[in-house]
Amino acid sequence: MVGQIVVEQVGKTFGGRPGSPAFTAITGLSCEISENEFVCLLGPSGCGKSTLLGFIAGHDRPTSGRVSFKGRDIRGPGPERGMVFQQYALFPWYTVQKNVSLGLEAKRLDRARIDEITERVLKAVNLWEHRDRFPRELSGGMKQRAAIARTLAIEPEVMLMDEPFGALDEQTRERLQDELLGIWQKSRRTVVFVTHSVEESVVLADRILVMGRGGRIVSDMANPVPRPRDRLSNDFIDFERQVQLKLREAEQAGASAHRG
Amino acid sequence: MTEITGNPPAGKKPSLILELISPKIFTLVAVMIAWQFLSVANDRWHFYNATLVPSPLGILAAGIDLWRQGTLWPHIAASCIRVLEGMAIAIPIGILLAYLVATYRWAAVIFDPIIELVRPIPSLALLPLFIVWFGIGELTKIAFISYSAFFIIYVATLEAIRDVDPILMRAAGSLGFSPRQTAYHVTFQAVFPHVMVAVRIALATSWFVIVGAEFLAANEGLGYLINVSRVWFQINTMMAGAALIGLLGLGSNYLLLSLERRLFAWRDRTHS
Repeated sequence: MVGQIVVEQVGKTFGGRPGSPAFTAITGLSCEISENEFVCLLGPSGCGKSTLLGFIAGHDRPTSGRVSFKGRDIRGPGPERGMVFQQYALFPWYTVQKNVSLGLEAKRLDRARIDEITERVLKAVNLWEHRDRFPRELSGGMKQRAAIARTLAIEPEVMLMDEPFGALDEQTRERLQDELLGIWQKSRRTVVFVTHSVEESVVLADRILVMGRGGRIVSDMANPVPRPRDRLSNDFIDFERQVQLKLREAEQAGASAHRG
Repeated sequence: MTEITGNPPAGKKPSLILELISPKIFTLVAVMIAWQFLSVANDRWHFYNATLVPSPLGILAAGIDLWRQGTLWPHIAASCIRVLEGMAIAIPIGILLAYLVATYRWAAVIFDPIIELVRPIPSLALLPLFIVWFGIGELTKIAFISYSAFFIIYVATLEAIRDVDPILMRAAGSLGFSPRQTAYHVTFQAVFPHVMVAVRIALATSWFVIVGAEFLAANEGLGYLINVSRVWFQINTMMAGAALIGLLGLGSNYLLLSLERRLFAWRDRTHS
């Protein structure tokens, strides 16, 4: 089975300006992601996981190799690959409702349809009663729910999420993880989710790609924990430990590679 | 986590302009009263020459005299119209050129070096040149104001466009915005508040340069009034003219500030 997203021998080198040595973030990375799969890219900061997500989103281009979506090379961003950012990236000058409906206006839907979808997604993330607020008037968790609603509204084939819950407190994060899973289970689509939290990846993913420093995939782990997942069950904790071990291995290997 | 911040009830605020100036107007009134007291004391004990430093009431009387003679209004109108016309030319040209320079490489190559070379020259230094080129009619004064205000608008707009948060541009791309939608919903919306600040600064500069232009080449306007009063040694009228420019500048600044508050409500309302 050929993946919906195919990454082949991708490399990325930054810099190389006079005076600063070139920095290689990713070398020879390959992976495939299938349709409707929930994949977590897990790794320490600076391992290139966000860079890889940026390639799939089309915000950045690799210096070598190819990244394709449904068999076609990705040349730029597009609404079939929706993105949710850690910094929310809501438009501060528009209300929650306007933030959500803008992507639908870009699709040139008629007004009634736009209003209907906006209402549906805002209700799905429990923000309908706050629709007239500006982003500054929202808490971090509400901002991220608004950003998720905005991406859900345009019904992307893939949802790319770049550490979306990284800036939130523990309780809010768990709640949003559960809400996200609820939404995903109702309307399945591909999700590529970047995180550095082992627990988060075990809660969410069907499959975890563990990345090490230097942008390599160290391990490709299918998540055996049955859904709905209980964060305190033995299955969960066992698998969490396995992932943790792989991650530690990756970091140690990366560290020695850097020294050597 | 999601507690409700009570939205300020609409209709509660009486007037934005009133709200902006009311506490500050007391400072002005207090200064005027102190000055008036000093003048009254000076009339008795003569610490300084009262002809050279008139009292606030004396200045007010000079202003009222001008008003009664019917000469005040034409001077004010002449200066205001010049400032408004000059700004009306400078704002669109400044914004357009900044947009072109920020967006297109060719525009940056053509315009940026020229603008950056001319920009550091104080515009008053070029006033005699403007008079030689355009004569002493309205054209000179309006061209001169536009010229002076243009750089402020241009520089601020260009900086603001370059400062637009790249993550918002990426978000726009991933939401499928067309270039036109991105230009309006992201770039324009992000830049607009900065342009408004630049307009306020440019307006103050316009008042600054219009007086200079009216000293040299005008037969009406507040600058002309001040200069002609100097010839007749009417210190009261000179100061009345200066005070009027101050008041007009203050008034236009507050007007624009209250407009900004209305337009950019999203900046003021915060999560608490």
